[in-house]
Amino acid sequence: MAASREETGGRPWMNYLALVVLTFSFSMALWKVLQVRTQMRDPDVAIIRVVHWQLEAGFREAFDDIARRFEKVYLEETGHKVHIVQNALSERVYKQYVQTQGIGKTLPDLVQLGREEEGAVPRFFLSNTQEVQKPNPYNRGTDLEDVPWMDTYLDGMVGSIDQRDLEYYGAASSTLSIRLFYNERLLEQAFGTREPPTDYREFLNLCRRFQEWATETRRTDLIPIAASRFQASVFRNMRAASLLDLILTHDRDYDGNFGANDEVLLAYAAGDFDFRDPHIRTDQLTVSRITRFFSSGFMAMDRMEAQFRFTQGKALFSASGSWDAMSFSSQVDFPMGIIDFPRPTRDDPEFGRHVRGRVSEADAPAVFRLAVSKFSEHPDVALRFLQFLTSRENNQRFNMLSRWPPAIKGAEPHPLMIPFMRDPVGFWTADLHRLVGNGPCTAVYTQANWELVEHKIDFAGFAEMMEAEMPRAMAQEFERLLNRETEERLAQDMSLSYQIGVHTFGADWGLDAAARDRSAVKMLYLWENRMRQYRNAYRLLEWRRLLESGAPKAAEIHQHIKIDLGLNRE
Amino acid sequence: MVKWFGGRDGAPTTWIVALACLLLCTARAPADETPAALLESAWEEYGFQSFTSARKLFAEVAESSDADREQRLQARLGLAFVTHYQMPGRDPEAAVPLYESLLKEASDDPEWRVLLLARLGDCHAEIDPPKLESARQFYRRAMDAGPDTSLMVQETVLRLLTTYMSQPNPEEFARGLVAVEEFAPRIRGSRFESIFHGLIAELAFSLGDLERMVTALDAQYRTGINNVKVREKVLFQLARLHEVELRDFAAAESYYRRLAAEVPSSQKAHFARLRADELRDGKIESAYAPPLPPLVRDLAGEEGVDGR
Repeated sequence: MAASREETGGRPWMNYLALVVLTFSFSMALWKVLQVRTQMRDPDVAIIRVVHWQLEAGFREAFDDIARRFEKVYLEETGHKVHIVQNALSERVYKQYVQTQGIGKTLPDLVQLGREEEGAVPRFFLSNTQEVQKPNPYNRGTDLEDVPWMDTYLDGMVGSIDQRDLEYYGAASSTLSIRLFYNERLLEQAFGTREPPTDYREFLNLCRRFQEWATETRRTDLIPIAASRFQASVFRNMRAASLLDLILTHDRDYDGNFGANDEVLLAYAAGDFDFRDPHIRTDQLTVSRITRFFSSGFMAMDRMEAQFRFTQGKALFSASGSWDAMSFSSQVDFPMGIIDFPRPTRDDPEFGRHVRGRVSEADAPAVFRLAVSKFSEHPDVALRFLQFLTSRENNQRFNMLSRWPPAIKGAEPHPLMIPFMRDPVGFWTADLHRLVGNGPCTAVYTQANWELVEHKIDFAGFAEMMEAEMPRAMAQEFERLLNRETEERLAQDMSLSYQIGVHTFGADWGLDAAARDRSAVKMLYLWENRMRQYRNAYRLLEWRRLLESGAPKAAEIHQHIKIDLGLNRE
Repeated sequence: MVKWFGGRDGAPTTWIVALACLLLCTARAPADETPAALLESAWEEYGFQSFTSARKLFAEVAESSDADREQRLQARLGLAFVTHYQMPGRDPEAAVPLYESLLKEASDDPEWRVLLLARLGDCHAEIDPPKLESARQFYRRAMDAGPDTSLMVQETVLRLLTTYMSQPNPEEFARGLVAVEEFAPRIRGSRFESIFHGLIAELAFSLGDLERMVTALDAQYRTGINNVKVREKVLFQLARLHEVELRDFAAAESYYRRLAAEVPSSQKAHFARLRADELRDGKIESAYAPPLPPLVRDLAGEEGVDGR
């Protein structure tokens, strides 16, 4: 106590210095706030506020660069000033922010979509369906000059369509993919090479040898793969298309899809496949062979903890998405490489018999989609900025700076992003363990899969767990599936009734013929989706046939069905 | 002054005038929204599924003396729609009398008749247990109430067709396939023709009539599919059905090539290209797909031989 009095009494100027610093800081902050307010209130400047949740390294700087360029170009083109202000929010609060600002009619001009409540898009945002069908003016002078804006996208802008409203909202700027990161220095130290293997078996072998090398050199802090529960899911991208034969064999309606639908139930109940199937074994073991090289207790580890371990040079490999590439690149002090996953091929001695090739990335989604809010004071300027951002030249520049894969055809990626560019070559896979999303079947599968990747059980144990629990889970999902089809059809009925209202009475409110015609087109779109939502009768008929045929699995599942399926009603 | 505010003669009148002035000053300015503007807002709210707001706005117009007969009918239809379609809380049974009452008043207008009869058909198809025969009768009356060129009539044809897809009964599916012959001329060349063929394909699939399914899918594709995901599905189905069920490999190759060319963003595009090349080269056994299963007719033939 005495000592502390002595300390403070000994240097009284420290207090004054602190006061001066505090006053200076407060004044600066106040001045900044006033400056922003003055700028915001300048009637000669159109302020475009943008909100998004991309907090990754370099992203905001890249966005700022494009924003400043647009401000200059817009001034030259129109003689009017525009100022783009971005506000990056944490993902945790983003959804609530959009919802509350939307309800309060105070949403910024441009808002990143993807975290909003269902149905919020048509309510809070302006559709740009008409504009996406016209060329992007900022592609003038290129071979995309006469190409509709939507067709300049690698994905044809499919990701911008709102499934409820069937209109285009906003425009995306980037894409994403998942790849394998590796530490070149460790690789060289351990094996005298900087080139990682591209073959699945060689990769497993290298991980095993790395463990041995770490033990021999007493570097027990090193692990082959830095991973947590999150990365265990990420490594599922390592799976090859080994389920394709099963998919095509049991695809009753020949649409190429078997999994996450009724066909799984009907084939399983008929005894046409089960979870001991060798194709499923290949699919499951591809990942569980890898998890042997994760650090022990990886399931309890945090995602950031695992990534930290890699960036600290304690792991040979890690897996993550393109969004993390720049952060990794700026954090590591070793040469880092990025490659596609070494997947099992048709030559693989154990899995090759079932492998048809890699899984295609042709349908990889476009991301960082910004849409113009209905409450924007300058919607035309906001839309123009989106067109500027997604011209080939600017999309390339933006993604070069942010280190994300570009979304526009012909836009060159940053060298760091070259390994992340989508590879459309390949086949497809499916979730054969479920009928609907996030239901009891997924819970059963997740539990069994975690046990398998943690090596608490082997594949036989996995299959046993699945076989024991699936009849009950499938019964519940069958009920949900039947209910979901009815509910979705009723929801579409509601949307159709609205379009009927617009089409029939729109002229009374001053809607022109083109707008009424669009409502007819929307009815057509709704019916195109609706066509396949009359399958319940077929499902029930097939179910009755299975029960009548005495299929044991069907009888077992049927015991768990709680609702009246009305099988005796005609 | 006394006479104005306190005088025995003029007092009541004066006070009433004063109060009226006060009320006029304090009351909300009369809504500058016309019934047409209110209806537009009501439909917009309905489209956003804000049913409480929509109901309030529709009710305001339905009771407004400024609204004309057409506008009041439209508002009452909006109220019936809210009752019928709002989720949660949809009540098709309660909507029936609302539609019936509107039908009585608007029976002279063909467009209204089609719309209301079709909605009555919907109600009868939706109530539990569904009254499918009544629903079909309403749909037929709706179709007869307007010209075939009417969008509402064309849409009603689709709704009528779906009534044959709601019972787990093969006879119903078969009746649906017979009924389509009757409706086909009415929908030919219309916007909804492609959907009509798509529904036939679904009926044929449910019945296991894969040849009919192929014909319908081909007609669906040729009459135009807007949704790229649906087009992807239909082209893949046509390719696989021709390959696996009909063993028409030239047709299968052609549909695989169309899929790869028309939907390059499909995960199936690469497979389609590879399989098309294999079929062109006469490779029936694929390196990318499971072996073709024996045809049902071949199996039947083998059984016949064995039996003899």
